[in-house]
Amino acid sequence: EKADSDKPTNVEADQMAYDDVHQVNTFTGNVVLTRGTLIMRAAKLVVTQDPAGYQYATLTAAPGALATFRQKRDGGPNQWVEGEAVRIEYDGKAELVKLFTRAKLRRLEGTKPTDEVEGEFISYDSRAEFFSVNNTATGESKPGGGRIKAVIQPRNDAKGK
Amino acid sequence: MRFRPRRLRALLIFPPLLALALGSFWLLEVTRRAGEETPGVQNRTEPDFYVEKFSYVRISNKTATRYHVAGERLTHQPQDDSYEVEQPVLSGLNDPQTPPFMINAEHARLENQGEKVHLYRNVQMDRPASGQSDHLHLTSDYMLVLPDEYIMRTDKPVDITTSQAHLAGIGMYANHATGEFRLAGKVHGTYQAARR
Repeated sequence: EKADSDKPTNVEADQMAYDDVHQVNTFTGNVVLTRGTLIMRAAKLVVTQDPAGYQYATLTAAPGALATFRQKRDGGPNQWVEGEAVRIEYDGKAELVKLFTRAKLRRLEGTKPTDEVEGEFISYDSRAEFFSVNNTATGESKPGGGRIKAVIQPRNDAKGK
Repeated sequence: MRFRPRRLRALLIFPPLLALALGSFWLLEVTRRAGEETPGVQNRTEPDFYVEKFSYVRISNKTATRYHVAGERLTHQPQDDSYEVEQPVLSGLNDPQTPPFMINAEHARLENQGEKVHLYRNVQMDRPASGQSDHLHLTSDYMLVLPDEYIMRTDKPVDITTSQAHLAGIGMYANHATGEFRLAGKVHGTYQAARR
């Protein structure tokens, strides 16, 4: 949701280590980041800040687990997007969420997923609500890379609802 | 045997002489033991001096840091050569390397010549903005300060506010020289959105 971008960011974690020289903030242990309707969970969160004050977050999952994120979408009353991956990078300036390795992205209406994509790398622009999927964790598509699977639910036309 | 006056005189003179001799012995003993006692002042439990409305500047030869402790009342404990301070105010003096800081609390205890400063109850620290780091205000219930090493440590909850963020946690380690800062448990951080 666009309104999220000027909301404060809350982080809960077990431990925190801040390096004032490089201005890098590392949270570890049951990390929960919330910002407006955006909520992200992971085992580790590293936050850096650029001179302009924009924050860049990298969430890494505990071994075997997945880092997750969920955010409300502007598209309608109860529209949500959820994603999970081994590593999630969030660019606070461009409001771009990048999911690396075993990445999944679902769009939901309430709790009913409307469409879902899987791949090795998914990038989701939360402002334009556009996402692209590639089959290698590096972000480009290469032959022989992972498979991409997309399930797009039929749109039942608004009248029918 | 007739009672001779000489024996009587002897009897009369002898006891006082004896008393005198014993007395001087006793006096000698007392002065000797008193002499011995003064080095034994360690086993003394009460303080041996106190200063009121004081200002104590410590200059460390190692890092040539100077820090300043002021307070309502400083009491010296001879037992472990430590100082108890009421309403302490600890501040770093013009030390270019680290941002100046000011900490006050209700009570402090200075150990081994001020190398270790324990601050108890209502510890408040203020670090004015300098360089990239903005103004920081910290509160806790206890803080151990090692001024020579620019280290502050506590196992108690801390609450920190800067102009951009609010941070709470349990257990803190901060090293102003290396810029390290760690919270050991139950971390909760709130960061304001970047000004666009």
